[in-house]
Amino acid sequence: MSLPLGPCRSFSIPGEEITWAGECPWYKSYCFGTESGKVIFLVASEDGQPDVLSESKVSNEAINDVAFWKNLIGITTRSEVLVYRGPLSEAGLSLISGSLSGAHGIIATPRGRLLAPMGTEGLFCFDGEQASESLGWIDRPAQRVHNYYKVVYLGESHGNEILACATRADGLARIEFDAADANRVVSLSAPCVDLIDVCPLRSEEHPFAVAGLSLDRSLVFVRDILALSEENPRRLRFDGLQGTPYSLLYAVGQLLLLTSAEIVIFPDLASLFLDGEPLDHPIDAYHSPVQAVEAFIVSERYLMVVTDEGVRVSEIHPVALAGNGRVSPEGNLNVPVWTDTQEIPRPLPTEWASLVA
Amino acid sequence: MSVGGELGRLFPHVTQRSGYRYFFYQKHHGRGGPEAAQWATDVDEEEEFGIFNQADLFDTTDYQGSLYGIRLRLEPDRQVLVLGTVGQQVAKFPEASTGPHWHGFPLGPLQKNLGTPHPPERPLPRDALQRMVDAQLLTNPERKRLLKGKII
Repeated sequence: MSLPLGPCRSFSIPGEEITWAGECPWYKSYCFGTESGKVIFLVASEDGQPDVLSESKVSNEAINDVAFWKNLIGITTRSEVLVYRGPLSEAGLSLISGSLSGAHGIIATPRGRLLAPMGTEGLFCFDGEQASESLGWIDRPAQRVHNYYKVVYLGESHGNEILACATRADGLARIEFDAADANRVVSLSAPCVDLIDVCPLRSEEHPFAVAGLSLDRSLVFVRDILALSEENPRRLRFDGLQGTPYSLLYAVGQLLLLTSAEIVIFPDLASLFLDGEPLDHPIDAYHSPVQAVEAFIVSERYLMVVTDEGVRVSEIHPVALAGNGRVSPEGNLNVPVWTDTQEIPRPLPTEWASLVA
Repeated sequence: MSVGGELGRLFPHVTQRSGYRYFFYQKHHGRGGPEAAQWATDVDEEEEFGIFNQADLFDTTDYQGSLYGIRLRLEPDRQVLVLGTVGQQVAKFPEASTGPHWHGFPLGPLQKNLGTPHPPERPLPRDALQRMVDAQLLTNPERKRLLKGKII
């Protein structure tokens, strides 16, 4: 078994505390959000020191997420949702919409919807195609309050955009947006599940498969979210996990889990589940202790881990190509400690209840 | 017992440091309207007062004098537990140092605009959060996550 992660590079910005990391399609470079409310666009120089390209102070709160669609940029903090028109000029970004209620994050869909989960307030929606006429709206299902925490885009089905949403104790939700921006929410909840993250398991055979992460450290798997009310999710627990769960990520066949104490890579778990394997035998896992703030996937193959010291970036190797990826101690590369283990997941019997809103 | 027309119960003991008295309003214990934050049902009165007592002990206050607390579990492993019915992990105890007693309720992680005449519901202020880190109740990564409106 070999670590499916390449060498690790570190970034930091003097005088700033990084709270979000990703990439900017405008400059095709890394982009960071800071605790001081700035969005900073930069590229790395040859010697590994960051070159600040440009920055924009957009808030007095810490940036928790950024999403791009064409020339629009959506930015969220715990106190506001902001939609700007870019790219950045000397006058800064141009604010075109937003909300004075906070959100946990924001995504952009291929059709240009900017969507920000606002907890029990609802889902902030902004239609980028109608940017000159629309100010955005907050969507709340009429039948019941949902606690929107994390939303991800999965794909299109019958002309509708399909999303999955972690809605804390309200469970896992499927949200379908039609062309007229009307939506329908179907959710599954269970008494012990407090779902705090969800990620797509991108697969040609199962384009609407997702995995979720519950606050009790259990993992929830769904092969087809379009059949959410027909096939109950599978729920598993790995007893070797440490810390409070923070994020669940998926890239090039690898499932990655960040907790308050460590980051764990499960190289085969997603494919075993999608292939219908029984998951009753030892599963490979790599553990690395870290006290991180958050982790992100960039360009579908780079892992960015935000810590107190800055951001660590590593390439994730595809499952089939994972060779000897042990980190190299050369140059400015850091060498996190990884431990490989084999763990048998414990299936958790769960009584799911369905709701259509 | 009724205070100002609102029903509840006074806790029999006072806080260790300042001798504050604490009142459990029923509106935050399953009998409030949709706007009233609710304590989780697995937080009993002893534990709720314990969160308040800890906040007073470490003086985790904001610039206006309100106190803020967390439900910290140390065994079998350290964890900041949920204390409200919609996943809140922080409690707010509004400033009442000159009043007869204090009370508290779960505070959400995000700012909410409640519309006039209500002022916005604001999340944990930075100064109180920093005091929690200084008191070693929270780590710096946890401070940053709370500043982002994330669970810890």
